[in-house]
Amino acid sequence: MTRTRTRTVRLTAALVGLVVFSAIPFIAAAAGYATVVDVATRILIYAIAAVSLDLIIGYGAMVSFGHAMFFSLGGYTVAIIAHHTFGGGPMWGWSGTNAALVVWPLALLACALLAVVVGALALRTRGVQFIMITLAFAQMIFFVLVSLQAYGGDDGLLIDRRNELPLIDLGQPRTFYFLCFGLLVLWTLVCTSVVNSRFGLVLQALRQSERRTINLGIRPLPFRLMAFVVSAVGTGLAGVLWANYARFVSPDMAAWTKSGEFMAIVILGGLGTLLGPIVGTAVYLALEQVLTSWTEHWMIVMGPILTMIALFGRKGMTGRLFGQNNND
Amino acid sequence: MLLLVEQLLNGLQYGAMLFMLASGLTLIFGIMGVINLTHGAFYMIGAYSAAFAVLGTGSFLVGALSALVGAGLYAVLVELAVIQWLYRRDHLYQVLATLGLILFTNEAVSILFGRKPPLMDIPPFLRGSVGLLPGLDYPVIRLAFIAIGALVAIGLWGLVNHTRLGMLIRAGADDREMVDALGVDIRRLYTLVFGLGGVLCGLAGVMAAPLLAIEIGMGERVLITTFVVIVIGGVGSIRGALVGALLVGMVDSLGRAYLPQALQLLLPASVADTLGAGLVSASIYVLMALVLLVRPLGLLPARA
Amino acid sequence: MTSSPSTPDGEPVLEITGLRKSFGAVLATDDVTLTVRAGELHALIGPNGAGKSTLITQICGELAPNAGSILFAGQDITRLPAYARARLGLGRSFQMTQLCPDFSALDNVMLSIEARHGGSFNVIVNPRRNSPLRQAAREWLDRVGLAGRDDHPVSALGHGEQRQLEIAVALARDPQLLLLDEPMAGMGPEESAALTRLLGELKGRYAILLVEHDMEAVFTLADRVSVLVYGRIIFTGTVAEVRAHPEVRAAYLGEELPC
Repeated sequence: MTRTRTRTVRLTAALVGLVVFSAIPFIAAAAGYATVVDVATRILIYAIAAVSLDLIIGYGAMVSFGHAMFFSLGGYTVAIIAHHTFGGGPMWGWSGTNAALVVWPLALLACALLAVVVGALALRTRGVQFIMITLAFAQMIFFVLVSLQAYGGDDGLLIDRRNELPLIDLGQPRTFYFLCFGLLVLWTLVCTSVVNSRFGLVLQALRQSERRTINLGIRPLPFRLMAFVVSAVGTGLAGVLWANYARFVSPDMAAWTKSGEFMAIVILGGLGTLLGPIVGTAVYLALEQVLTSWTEHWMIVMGPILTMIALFGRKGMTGRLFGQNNND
Repeated sequence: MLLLVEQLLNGLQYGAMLFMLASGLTLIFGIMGVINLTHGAFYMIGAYSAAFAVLGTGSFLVGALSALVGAGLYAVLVELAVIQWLYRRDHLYQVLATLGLILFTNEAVSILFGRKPPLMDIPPFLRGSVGLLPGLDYPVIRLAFIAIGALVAIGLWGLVNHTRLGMLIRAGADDREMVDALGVDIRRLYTLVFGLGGVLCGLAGVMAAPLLAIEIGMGERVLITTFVVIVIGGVGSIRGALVGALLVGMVDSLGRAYLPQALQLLLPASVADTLGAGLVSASIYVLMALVLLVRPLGLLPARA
Repeated sequence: MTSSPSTPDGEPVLEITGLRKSFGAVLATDDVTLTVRAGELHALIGPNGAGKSTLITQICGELAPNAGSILFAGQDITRLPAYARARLGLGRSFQMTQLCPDFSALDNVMLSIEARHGGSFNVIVNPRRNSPLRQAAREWLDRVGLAGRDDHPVSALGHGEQRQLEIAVALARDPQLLLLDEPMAGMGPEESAALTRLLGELKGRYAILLVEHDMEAVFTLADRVSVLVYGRIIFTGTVAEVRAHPEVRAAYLGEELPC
């Protein structure tokens, strides 16, 4: 497909998506299916993580098997601050706050810092070593979370109430839904800008021909690290929103199976498309929803589905449609 | 001092088990280029098969055989159904495909055998302890583990270096086309190697069954550790797997014994308490990160 | 078609001294000393297996030598990583085309222009919307004879066109030294002639180290020629000197040496 045609397809799909997602809460209310908003909110949140992961796997060719660590860090920052704000006693003298405008940037900053440390070390390796070292870091975070008895350890931590934003009430499902929606749209636009930018040109060149790019005088590490950090912040944002949505965090958020889930979603949706993973998230979570309501043993279906996605999913559901790795 | 010896022996025993798992995994990755997450599932199948066979027949020998056969057969099945399509694919897809297999296997086992974890007693001839040093009695079964691990190491060394199969394995690692040109069916070779890996997992499973909890998630727990072992040791190298297994076994065992106290000395009490347990579990990952930073390809990579 | 013998007296851009590289018992690079001066087109020829590739990878920084030194514009780059050498102005084209296959021809050249400053961290500006950049890239494509192929993805280009793009990418980087690794490999006679003309135009503007098997091009273009046999430079001189040299003729025994 030529450039302009894929561009038209992408824009059309994006518009359709915008309309559909905007309409969901109203349709659900009218039809009486309140839980649809719930599922849709989860889709929006996971989609933010999926888009972030596509940035580095699809465009940067960095297969991180540890992204769940950022998801969990975002969530736990919210949970821990909430814990100390509402009855847990002060944290190093600070009595906490429930203002999203303070808590959320803090959480994202934490993720960025973790990403700089992990990335600076892990990005010295390639291929399977990179996969394993990102997994190792995520496991470290997982075990640390499990051992935090003060914050629930294995059982996880409940969150009193959602963070507060001025003027709007995040306790309302519909309001929270639209916030997640807005953030997903915003974040997708940010990621799109990144991949189409001068920075993105270099990042994608490193994916396609590292040797050529190096021989032009470009040092790979800083570019990959930056992409890794951006991706981590996005995943952390998803974690922040999840903590607010579920009002509960647990070490499972850092489990390697969670990282695997994110990977599956991105592949299912279509690597290197940014929009594809959003579709992938919708399909995956909807599937999960349907299967869990059928049977307690839904994994026995989900497992082979993941395997088949991997075996047949080279371009994902939308790769051909949205022009894999194409820009604009 | 005696505690140290005991911990060293524990480390050796854990290392022996890790070696049985890691050697198969490193062969599979080194020769076939596949990241096989299902390796942990084979181990679990081995343990479950052994436990239920023993429950049914009362004979440990039957149990052991069931473990080897069960795990080996399942491995071959998995190879024929799924793995063979993954050889030339990106690692990303291998990870995902085998992750799906794990989820499937776990659920299938829980449906077939129920969620209640089975128990397997230590067979009579392996019960009791032996006095190794004055004041140190060490369980026979753990010593048996160590002995079997050593036998497996010697056996594998002999296989890889002194048999035709071993030569094909080494050749297949370097040059697929050459092996093909020798008139060897590379597909059969791969299936065989995969099956061998499965059998080794089954062996680890039957040895672990009396000592550790047999439950659905046991494969995953040991799988990550096994990957840490082969990454530290160097992917594709059996010698690396041995060194990595022993190193990880020791670090884990000694870490659990001495790290909490060391942390109490080095860090303020509250921090040591909260983070101590986590850091102890994470010690092998720290080890791996350190090794990779100094030697990105592992300690004894197959190809320098 | 002979080239007039000249002794270039420009500043040395590339100075290789006593370079050695062995792989176990095999001595791939044996005490190689070679200088390329500003404005000079210095050809490196030699039979297959002479060690030309090994030498190039050492010059570019992808392989570390066992002994010897490499100076670039007076600076010692022997221990410098590949990207740093490229930053200093060491440009290169590859024998096996190394292009970004998902990008268009224009994208590849734009990348090269961006790389002049080591790549940009700007996450907002889309280079494809940048008119001056596109225009500059287009000019390079025109220069090598790829006018009108701007937006074609690399996979849609023929082999010869890809080789031309290789050159364009190397040129767009605006290097001080151009290391061309068998640029005419796999090209037909017309394409080779066109490329020879292009290189003739570039002569004098850059220092060029041309590794080639195509003897016509070499004898047309080269100011000086070095002959590499079994890892050793057996002779360096003008085209006429090289043609007459008995050892060189002997080394090429059985190969066509156009008179």
